[in-house]
Amino acid sequence: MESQRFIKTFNVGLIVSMFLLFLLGIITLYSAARGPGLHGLYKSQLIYFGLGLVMMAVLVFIDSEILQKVSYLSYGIVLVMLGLVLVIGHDAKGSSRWFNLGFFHLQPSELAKVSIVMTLAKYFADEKQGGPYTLKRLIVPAILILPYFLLILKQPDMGTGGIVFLTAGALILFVKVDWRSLVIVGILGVITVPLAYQFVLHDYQRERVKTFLDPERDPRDTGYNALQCKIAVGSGQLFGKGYLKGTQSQLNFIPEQQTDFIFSVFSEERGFFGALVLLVLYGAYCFYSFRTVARARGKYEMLLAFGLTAIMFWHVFINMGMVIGVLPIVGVTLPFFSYGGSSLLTFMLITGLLLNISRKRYIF
Amino acid sequence: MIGREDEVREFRSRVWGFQALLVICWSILVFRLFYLQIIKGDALRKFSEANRLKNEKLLPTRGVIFDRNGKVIVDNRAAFDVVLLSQYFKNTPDNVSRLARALNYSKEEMDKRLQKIGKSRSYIPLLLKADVSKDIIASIETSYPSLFGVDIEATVQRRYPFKDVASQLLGHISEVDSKDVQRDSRKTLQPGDYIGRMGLERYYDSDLRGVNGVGYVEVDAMGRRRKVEGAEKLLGFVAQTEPVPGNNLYLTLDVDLETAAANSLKEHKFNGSVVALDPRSGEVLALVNEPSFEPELISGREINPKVWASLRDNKDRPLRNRAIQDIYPPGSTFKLFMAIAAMAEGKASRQTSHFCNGSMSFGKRKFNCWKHHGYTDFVKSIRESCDVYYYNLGISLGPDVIAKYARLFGLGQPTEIKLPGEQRGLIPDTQWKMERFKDIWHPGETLSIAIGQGYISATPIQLANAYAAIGNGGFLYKPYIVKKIEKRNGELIKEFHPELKRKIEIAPEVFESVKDGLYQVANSPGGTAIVSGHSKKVVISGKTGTAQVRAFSDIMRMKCESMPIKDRHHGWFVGYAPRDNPEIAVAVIAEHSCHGTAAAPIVRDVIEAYFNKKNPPQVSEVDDKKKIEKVAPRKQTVEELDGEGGEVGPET
Repeated sequence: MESQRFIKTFNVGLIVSMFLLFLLGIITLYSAARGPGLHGLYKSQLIYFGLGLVMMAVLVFIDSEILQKVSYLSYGIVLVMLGLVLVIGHDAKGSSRWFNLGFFHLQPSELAKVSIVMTLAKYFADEKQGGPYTLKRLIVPAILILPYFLLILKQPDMGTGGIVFLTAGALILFVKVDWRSLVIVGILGVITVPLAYQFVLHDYQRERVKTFLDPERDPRDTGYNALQCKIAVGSGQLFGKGYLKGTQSQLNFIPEQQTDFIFSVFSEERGFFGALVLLVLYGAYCFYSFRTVARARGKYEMLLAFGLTAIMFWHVFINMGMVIGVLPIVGVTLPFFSYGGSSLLTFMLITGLLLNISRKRYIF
Repeated sequence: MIGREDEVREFRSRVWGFQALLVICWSILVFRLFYLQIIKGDALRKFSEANRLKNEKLLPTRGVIFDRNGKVIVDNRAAFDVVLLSQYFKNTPDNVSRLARALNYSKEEMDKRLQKIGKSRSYIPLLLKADVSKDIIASIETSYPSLFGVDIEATVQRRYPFKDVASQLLGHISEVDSKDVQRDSRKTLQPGDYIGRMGLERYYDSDLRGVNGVGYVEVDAMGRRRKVEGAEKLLGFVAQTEPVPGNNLYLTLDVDLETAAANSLKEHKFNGSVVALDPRSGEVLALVNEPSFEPELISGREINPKVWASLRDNKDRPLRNRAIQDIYPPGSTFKLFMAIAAMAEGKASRQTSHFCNGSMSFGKRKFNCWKHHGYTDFVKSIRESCDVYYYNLGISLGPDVIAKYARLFGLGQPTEIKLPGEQRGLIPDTQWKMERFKDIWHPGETLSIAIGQGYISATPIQLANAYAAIGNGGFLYKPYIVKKIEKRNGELIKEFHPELKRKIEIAPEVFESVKDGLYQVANSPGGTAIVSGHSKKVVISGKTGTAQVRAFSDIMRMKCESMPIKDRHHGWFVGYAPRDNPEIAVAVIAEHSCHGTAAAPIVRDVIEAYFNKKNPPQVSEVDDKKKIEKVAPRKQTVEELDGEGGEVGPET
């Protein structure tokens, strides 16, 4: 009776969809990373997955009261790390994004996504007055978000910065914003976006946006990626070219095809049908995590679950969107698919936290 | 518990709104995927299978270099490289031997090349053989299709049509290495680019190089490049940035004069250098170094390491631009600046006379002259190059005044010609001696300097330029070699004009007096170059000089010709023509030739070549010249009659 209840209450759908996504991911990674210098990437990805499972097992049994208590602490720690990484971070391709710990590249911006959600959840949970929020009452959350956002943009990592921004935005909408304030923000946004584009973005980031809007402009780098992805995805047709038979990916036409562009490899090999299956799986994952949100028993847990779901949602939508050319190219990974320990562990951390929340409803 | 339940109830309904957003976003993705994979899928599938699009660097053509008369002295020609796309190549013994046969490679050579497969990415073409002949192209084409993955790449090869003429001046080019790319502060270099390595190719590299373009190349399933119709349409844009060709250089150099000068130096079998300038502007008319090399041999995509090593390690240093990079003691050519200094300072006049009995005692030492000159006046001292006369002038002037005048004429400082690696030479003075050796100046050293030996040194171009300033009455120009830089389409980018470094403010009478002396050297009985430097065609003024290779040693007493070649003195002749308003000034150093008289005929050849080109000789004149040579072989006469020997300088 107890065990049956455990299984029923435990968010099995979330775990199953995560395992299926990782399984498809690692199979695709093997195919994507067969070029010189990439052999064996799938093995280290498997090791990270194992580490992630251990981490999740621990997370599930942590009392969410503790999570709540360490929320602000995590904010501070990650903030320091984000500052430090700019100074002593490891340089790669012109950006300093991670600490080299020897065995592992720690990317503080990955932790920042989770940390900002914990922090805002804690803030809004403690805010007894509740929504709808006026701009004035959103000043504190804005002050919390801004340092993260700016430090990540400085690295520069527009993708993760965007995720932090969009996730925090979704969370704030979720706690409900006064409609007049929304209109004001909307107007401000229309004014500031062009200014930010001109003065905040790096040259290469501007190029990407321009290329997205008008691929004819600069076909050199960014246009090339977008173009090769388009050919790869499109040539997959209905059922794909078959596993390990994607010419675009096997001949290394797509740079970074094992990380940010792995969806192009998948859709070339598996076609429209495969892509639909993948969308259904991500949809299922989001569905189960939304259910966790709906069933969460405390305000903190609910807001936390919502924020984590938002991270997942934005990652999938932005990554796929950029690969198939409906969004500009930004460095955003595809959950459970893209190669990279930091990324994989972050999504498993998210899953672990979601499981914790869904479990807690019935344990009390 | 109930309270917490209340807290969250209002949010639950909102979750639905966000789930709806998810459905909308997912739908966007599905519609786009449907559009790409189903609607456009067929076309994109065909495209991906039949043709693989790659972006590829398009190399610009390097600028062309013209001489002053518009003759092409450096340009480019089409070349063909054989490359391998290893992802398409079936590496079977049969295919390898067929490939080796087609390329004229031994089995070892072929294996060595193929070893590189796998070390680079499989889609980057691997060079098998650069700049192949038409025969090899034909045999590759006929071996097709068994040689899948072997392709002919059209490239551009730098061409130096005058072979080894002006090689050190022009320089050569080669592919950049990783260090070059790192060093490039403007970040314009990419791997595979070519840059100039010496001379003008290096100095004007950023003008000559041009800007890379980017193009899309379609590679078919066999790894061959081809153009596919409608590719742009399918992909929605034209994907090409044309490379910008390099700019063309127009030189002041006259390639005919350059060739004549090089031939003359070669005929006389001396290593050395010739610099010819226009004293009216500082334009470089010829700049020759011997021995030389063919830049094209070391400018290709593949350089034979043996050829390169033989040039680099050659003791005669064919890569060296002696004219600006090597310093030599100026020897007696320096006496002119002594004479000018003495007269300008009032220490001598045309009438100043000293007695030469073949040597002079100074302190405890005896300083020799190369000849017993007897009573010697100012003009005779130049004409006959009397050492004793200049020992006396040296004593009365002192090292610092000497240095001041030498520097006025540009010695001891770069001429600022726009070429890489120019040396400044050395004009010593008391301050220099103290800084360099922590020692005071010894009076005896002034006597060495007075006849251009000792610490003093100069480059051939410095001497040519200084004599040009004597010839033109005191206008010291900065020598220049590039007249203008133009875009390929003829649009002018930069034009260079004569640049006066300084007007040397010395009375015209002083110049007239030394110019009389210089005139008599090659035109009056007793002149040190009356035979070797005299021309029937044009009046040559000039001065012989001997640069001692081993300054103070016992072998000084030996006759120069009996010493080992490497110890023999260098011969100088520096002069200009005609006497008034000279149009050309020439400096020649003939290494290890023992006497200045060995260099004088080369100067004469250059000057005569210049004037022959300007006013082509009548047929009879040419005949006359031949007759004279038949009657009296020049070489013999030179040695008998001219005679500033190597046995000069202070005795120890």
